[in-house]
Amino acid sequence: MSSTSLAPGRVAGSGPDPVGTTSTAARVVRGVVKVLSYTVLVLFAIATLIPFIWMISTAFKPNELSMEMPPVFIPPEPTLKNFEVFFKQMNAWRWIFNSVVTVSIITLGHVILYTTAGYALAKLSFPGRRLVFGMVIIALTIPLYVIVVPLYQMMFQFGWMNTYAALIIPALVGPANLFLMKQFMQTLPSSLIDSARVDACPEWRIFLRVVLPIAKPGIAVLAIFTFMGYWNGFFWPLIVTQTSEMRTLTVGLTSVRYGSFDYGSLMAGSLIAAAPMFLVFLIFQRYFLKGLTVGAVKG
Amino acid sequence: MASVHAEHLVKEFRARQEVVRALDDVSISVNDGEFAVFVGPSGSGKTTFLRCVAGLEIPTSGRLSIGDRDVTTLHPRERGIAMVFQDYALYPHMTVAENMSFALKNLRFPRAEIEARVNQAAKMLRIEMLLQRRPRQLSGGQRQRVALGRAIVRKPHVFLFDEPLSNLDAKLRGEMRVELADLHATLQTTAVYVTHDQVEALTLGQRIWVMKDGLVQQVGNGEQLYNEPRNMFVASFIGTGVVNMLPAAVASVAGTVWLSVAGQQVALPPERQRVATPWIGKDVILGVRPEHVSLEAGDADPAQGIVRATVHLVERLGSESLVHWKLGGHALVSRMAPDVALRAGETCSVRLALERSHLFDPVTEERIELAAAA
Repeated sequence: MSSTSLAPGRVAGSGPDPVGTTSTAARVVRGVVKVLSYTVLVLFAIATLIPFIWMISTAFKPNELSMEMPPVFIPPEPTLKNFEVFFKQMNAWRWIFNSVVTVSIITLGHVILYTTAGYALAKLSFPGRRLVFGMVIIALTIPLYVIVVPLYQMMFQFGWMNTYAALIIPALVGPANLFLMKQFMQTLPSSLIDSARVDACPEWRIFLRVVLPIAKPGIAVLAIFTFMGYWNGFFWPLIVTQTSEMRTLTVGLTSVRYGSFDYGSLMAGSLIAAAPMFLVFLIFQRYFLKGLTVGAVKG
Repeated sequence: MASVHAEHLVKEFRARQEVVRALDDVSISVNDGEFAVFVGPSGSGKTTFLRCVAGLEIPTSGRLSIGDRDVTTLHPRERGIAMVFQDYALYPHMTVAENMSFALKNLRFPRAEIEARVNQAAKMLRIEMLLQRRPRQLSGGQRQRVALGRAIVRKPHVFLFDEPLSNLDAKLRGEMRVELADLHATLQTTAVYVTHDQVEALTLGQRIWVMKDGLVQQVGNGEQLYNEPRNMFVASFIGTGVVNMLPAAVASVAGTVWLSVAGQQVALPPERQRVATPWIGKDVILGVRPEHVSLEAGDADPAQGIVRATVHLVERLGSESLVHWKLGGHALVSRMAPDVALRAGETCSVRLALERSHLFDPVTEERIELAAAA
């Protein structure tokens, strides 16, 4: 050991041993507070998880056990019958197809529109840039319910009712995503774009070759949020679709709920509807956390 | 290689209702092959000037030329320049080789030539083994070399450097300064280098432009700027440590011009008498560098510029000591030997080397020798 090493158990410059000065009462109070905090958190976690557990359990148990009291969480004989009923007796495949098609096109549209627009608003200089961004902020404050009636009338006048156009085109307008991408693009170093300009790169190529690759985390957040938001979307698809063939999965499930009280197949359908959410969250959870801080912290 | 000329360059930025003039009628000529350094504090306009030369900003008015070509409004790719950025601006998703070849690919150079140039630059900068790595796998110094390499492969007419060493630690900065000087000696390409570090400016610049508030305060080599500063700003900015700026009054006694500094009299040396004569009866600022204040044995001697001062604090820095004095109500700093035997509260005699000091007009802050010469 070198001569400059400290004696074991002592820290240079430390005051009196803190353990000796801490009162027993204070330690007991801290312990009780800790136990209470954990108890509350665990109770909340259980309350949040029970509906999911019940959904999964009901999807795999015979229908007669679905309303058993006390509830049976682990079915003695798990079955896939509910899934069979869901897929055979309803338009399930069609609803899934509708959801996948509309949500994929909407997500792709948002990625293309708001990556380019966010870049333009954050990094390019053009007249009216502040005005455009101001309008985006104003648009952010308008809830869907305020514009839903005129929007519905527009769909009606365009003859788009009960079509993919009504499900997709109005959903392509997303000021929140434009705001998100603008804030994200602002965190990208401008020197990279300047450097590419000095490196003789044309503007469109700067976007494709320099900006897009380094904007991947932001684009992932945008895509995930858009996908999840519209996959779970219910209100707009409900009012612009009129036939079972045009329903999305979430809207279609309500017809299961109101058409019969077959909880088993309803939960099987709900599980199928929720599965992409679970998968997306499990695979991309680091991007969710990043999404929470986009625009709030640099980098 | 090419010269760089700016004529009456003005650059204004609009922020809401306010107009900020970052460059205020700047005219500059950088010679072909010269290493030109622009130095100044933040907001002095040096980076704006560099960005105008690069084509990343278009001047509000004025003319810029590189060689014989007017480049005022040309796109950066048409100017024959290469730039090294403060944060290196390496493309994080590309390898070192891809970073270095990016510009040449954009300019549609043949693949064989791109490869040859990248390898040549990598060899010159000793980064051959890093060519397949990505920027995040490199140290600060290696990134700096890659940024230099990316500029070198272009074989530009002019190199532009935007504070390229400011992100490095002190040791590496010193090493890279030497490498940059060597590189310029080898390539002999015109370089415009922007920094806020006067040590970089003095060690690298063949000529140095000192800037403040969008204006060029003085142009010259390091020696000229140190010994003949045009004004108080240049005197303070160039040189190590704080320059002592002492209010003084000029008086004439029996045909000799004296300065009254903090209630003590000192005689001006003969060569300074002539320039101070028109200022008799007026106030001036006496500028003395810390290295021009020395400890003297004995009592005050006005004829020799020796005054009495009290030690306030001694900062021992290892290679030297900075002694903070109280001279009347004013602070005075001197640079002295590391083992100088002084204690706080002690009153001693110190000599102000007036033959090396400067007198400034307190209103215009110009050196009064220049006013006398004018």
